Amino acid sequence: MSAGAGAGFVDYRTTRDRELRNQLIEEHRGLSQQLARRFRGRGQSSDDLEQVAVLGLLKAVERFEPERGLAFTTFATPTILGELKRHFRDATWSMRVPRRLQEHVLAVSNVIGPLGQELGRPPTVAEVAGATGFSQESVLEAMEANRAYSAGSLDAPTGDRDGGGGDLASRLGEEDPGHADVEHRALVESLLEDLPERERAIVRLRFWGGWTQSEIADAIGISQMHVSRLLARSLERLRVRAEAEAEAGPGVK
Amino acid sequence: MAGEHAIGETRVDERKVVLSIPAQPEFLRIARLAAADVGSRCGLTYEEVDDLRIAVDELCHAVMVGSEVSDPMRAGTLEIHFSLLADGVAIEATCTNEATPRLNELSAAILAAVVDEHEISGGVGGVSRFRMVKRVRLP
Repeated sequence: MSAGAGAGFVDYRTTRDRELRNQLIEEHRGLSQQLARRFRGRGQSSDDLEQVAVLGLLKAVERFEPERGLAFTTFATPTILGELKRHFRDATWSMRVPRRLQEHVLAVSNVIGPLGQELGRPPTVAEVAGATGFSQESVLEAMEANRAYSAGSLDAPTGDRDGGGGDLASRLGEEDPGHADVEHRALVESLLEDLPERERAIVRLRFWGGWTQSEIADAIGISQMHVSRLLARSLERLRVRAEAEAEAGPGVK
Repeated sequence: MAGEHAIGETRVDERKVVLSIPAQPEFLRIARLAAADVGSRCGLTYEEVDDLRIAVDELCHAVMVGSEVSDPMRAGTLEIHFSLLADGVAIEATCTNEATPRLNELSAAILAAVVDEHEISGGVGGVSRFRMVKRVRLP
């Protein structure tokens, strides 16, 4: 790291000047491009990979603390690699979705959390449209297309960024569906048992615990749209299982 | 005026969107999109719109259980009426697939969490019905 670049990071820590931040990103773009190239040939476009790598670079610039004496590249490399790996784990489209729509899903996903914080309440569709520059119709299309976005296999072990899987339920104080006073608790329980632990916890929190998607998203460190995807996929899976159980015998009213 | 609000010049409590689709799961995307659009016009938040879509999915699937959904000739028709209320959205539907609608406890719990009112009935003259209401919660 040159002395000039180091001074740039010190300045940025103090001023948070957007122009300076962009300049720092440009100065280190070669690093993100180099790391993105390692992931070529895995079904993602170079542009997408570089975009994801730049996002990692941006995060690294935001978090870098030059006073700790670490070279920026040493600090940024694992951050950028982490972003690329997460992209591969999360970002697989389960059916053909036009590139434009994929970008819309990503853009909408990125604004909902910050916009909710800014407003102090969940945003409306019109507000999401305003923040992204898309039409409301495009936002609604993105909401639907979000279902086709494979948020990692439902059976895949959950990673650190998603709050881990093993202790998620206990950390969140998982709700007991028995509290809902349902006649067929056993059926509900057996259906829920079919879900991986993270999805089971999310379903319980949303439908028995009364948590909103945003609250769950904040608690486990993923986006609201990721929670929405996991819920939609979990419900689909539960529905198939419930119909199979109903075919097999009584248990529904 | 009490019980009403306006979008532009138009009162929202007298308008209705009617959608008729084959009662087959692959057509539910259209129902979800219509519900999302109507919900957003009524001022539901992004998450509330997502809740409404979940409810549409649950109830539409519930009236299709046990029907010949894979047979276009026997699947029947799902007619969905979306009403823009002054304080939310009401959705009523009829399904002519001659199946008996079933709502298991899991679906009932899901619906209780995502909409303010819901009911389902069926079997009368081979027609199933459902109704739901979701109200705006914005402060």
